[in-house]
Amino acid sequence: MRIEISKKDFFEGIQTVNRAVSSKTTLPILSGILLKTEEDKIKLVATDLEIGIEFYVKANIIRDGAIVLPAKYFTSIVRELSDDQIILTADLSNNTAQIKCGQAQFNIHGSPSDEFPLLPKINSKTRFTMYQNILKEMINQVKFAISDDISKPFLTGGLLKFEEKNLLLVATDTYRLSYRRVSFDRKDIIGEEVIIPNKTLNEISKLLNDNEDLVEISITDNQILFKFSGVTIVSRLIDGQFPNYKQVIPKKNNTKAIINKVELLNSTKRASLLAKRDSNIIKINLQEDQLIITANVPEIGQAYERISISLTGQETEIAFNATYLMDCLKVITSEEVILELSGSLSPGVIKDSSGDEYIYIIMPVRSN
Amino acid sequence: MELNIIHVDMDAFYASIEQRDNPKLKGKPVIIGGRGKRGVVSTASYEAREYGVYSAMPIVKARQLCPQGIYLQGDHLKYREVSGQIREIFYRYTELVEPLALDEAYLDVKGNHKNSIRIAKEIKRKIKKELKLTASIGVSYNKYLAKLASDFNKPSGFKIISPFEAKEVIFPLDVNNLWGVGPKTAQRLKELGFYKISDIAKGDRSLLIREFGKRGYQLYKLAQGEDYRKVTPPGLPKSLGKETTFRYDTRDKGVLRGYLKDLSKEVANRASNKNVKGKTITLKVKYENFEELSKSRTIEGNISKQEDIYRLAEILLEEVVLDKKIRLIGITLSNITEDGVEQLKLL
Repeated sequence: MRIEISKKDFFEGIQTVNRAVSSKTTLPILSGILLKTEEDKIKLVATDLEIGIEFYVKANIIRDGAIVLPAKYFTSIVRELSDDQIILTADLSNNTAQIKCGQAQFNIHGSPSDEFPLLPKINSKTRFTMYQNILKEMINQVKFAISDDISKPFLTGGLLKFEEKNLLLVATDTYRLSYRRVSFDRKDIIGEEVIIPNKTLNEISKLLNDNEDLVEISITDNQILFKFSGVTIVSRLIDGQFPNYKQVIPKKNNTKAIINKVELLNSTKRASLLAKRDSNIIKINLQEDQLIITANVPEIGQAYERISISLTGQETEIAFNATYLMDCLKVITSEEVILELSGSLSPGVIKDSSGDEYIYIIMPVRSN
Repeated sequence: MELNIIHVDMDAFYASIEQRDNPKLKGKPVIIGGRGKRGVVSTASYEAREYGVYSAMPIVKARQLCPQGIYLQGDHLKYREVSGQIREIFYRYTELVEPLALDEAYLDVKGNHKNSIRIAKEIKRKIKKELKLTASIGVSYNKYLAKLASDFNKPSGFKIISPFEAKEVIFPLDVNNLWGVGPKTAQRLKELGFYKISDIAKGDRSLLIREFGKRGYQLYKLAQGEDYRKVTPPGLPKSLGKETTFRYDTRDKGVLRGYLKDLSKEVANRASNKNVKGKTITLKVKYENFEELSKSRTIEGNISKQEDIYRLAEILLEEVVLDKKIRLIGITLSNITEDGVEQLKLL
């Protein structure tokens, strides 16, 4: 195998697939990246068997072939090479590769490509496309609420659900829940729902573009495939039943406030400087025309923030974990947010001003 | 500089408790210390001190000096309980209590509107009246001087060092009376020509810094009667752990789970005693070849109940390779927070 490739393109490809390289050493072959020539491109593949990423880079293919190279060394070598053409030659008889670029020359030991597991072939009728920027926004508005409690695996991912006319992404760690809906009209896949692992959502959101290029998604019983901008990502799905999130979304409220989002975010951020580091609690007092945030650390001092709001319903008081509140404010795009409460021990609801497309439920903190 | 710092030091604490609870021991040389050949004296009553017996002296030596002494092993549970009763008296006056040992603590009474000297006298009186024990008390404007003061006329001492007399009191003292100066530092100080505290106070600061670094600066400050250490109440424990070594090494998961259940219960009990919760569970195992391994997991919420601790510990146990037998297993709860607030749940 022998190829000539631009360093910049090559490194971008390596970085892309690197996200799937296994960090565990139980299967050494998985700590490598597969390189395989295909027509006028080189295919890069990495997988930890939970998630697999495949990426094609244009190259001048001089001689076909395939080899697996250790990701850690291979990546750092290519990173440090000068911005030039790289000549990569692999001797398949003894599985070594030579990387030449400018004055630099490296010989590294690899493994035979046939030991590398193939990414599963996805053949499914549940197949659809959407804009990359929309999917990216959905993921970013939801992923922070995913649980890391491994004893409840079904909460360690985001629920993707097809409803009539809507596609939903929902996540909860039981302390808060994040819900995002986009319109979607495919009668043939109504009712399907899958749980996508946290890591997969994270990696995808990093790789997706902020534009209206399409991403193609296919779903089987236990796998999901994303295809976009030359990247193919295959991920296992999480087994299990996602809890019935509908029943925790409050239907009514006693207090409703419209608040400037940036002001609320900045005030919360500042007040949280004096929220006890471990529990991170701020108190929010809602009055007729103002919202007061207070926080205090007895040994250090107190914080006080005031924001003008418009309120309907009862005045009330509630305490939240400041991080939980900030998490949602950071991802809401509208200028104003709607905060709905029903007393200091009931869930609070935050929506963006556009309506019900984005809903965030946050449970209060009770101080004894 | 207000006289807000009080140092309370119980007189011959363990021995006095024994004498209080057993009238036969009154007026006799009582020595509390470890049994066995290598035991040392932990407390000697003032009667025993007259024979030259002092703390940390080997018991064997003590027996030579004071053969007629009454030697007791000591009841640490009881001492701990009495220590708690003393602290309870302190807390009537301030939250800022920093215990140094069972028999010694600093108090900062700046938050109490009462005069600190009066507080100190009341504490001394209450310890005597309620617990029938005597304490030596020092009152000053910093920790160093308060402790120095409590040591002035033991037993049952009471001494105030005010800012006006501080230098007068400490200047004539030997350098080993400075906080943190042990025999080695004292010797080095003397080699450099510093014999008395006044020598340091009036000495060359840059020489002290050159010789002792940051500590040199601190010594210089202490010698002026300045000490900026705060009275800091003990924080939350960093972690709560419990481990057990098996009688027989094992690799039987059922057996290991049984141990985990017991350990989870003990950790949960300790967490509930201390009124804390934690975010991280660590499972530690030691293999038969003494190789150690620990696995931990941090979750978003806080846990303290046995079921929750066990649930995570069991998952971690699944990750442990049982290719060798295990001789020890342990569970630790860390990332601790106070159990005063409760994050409510949706589901």
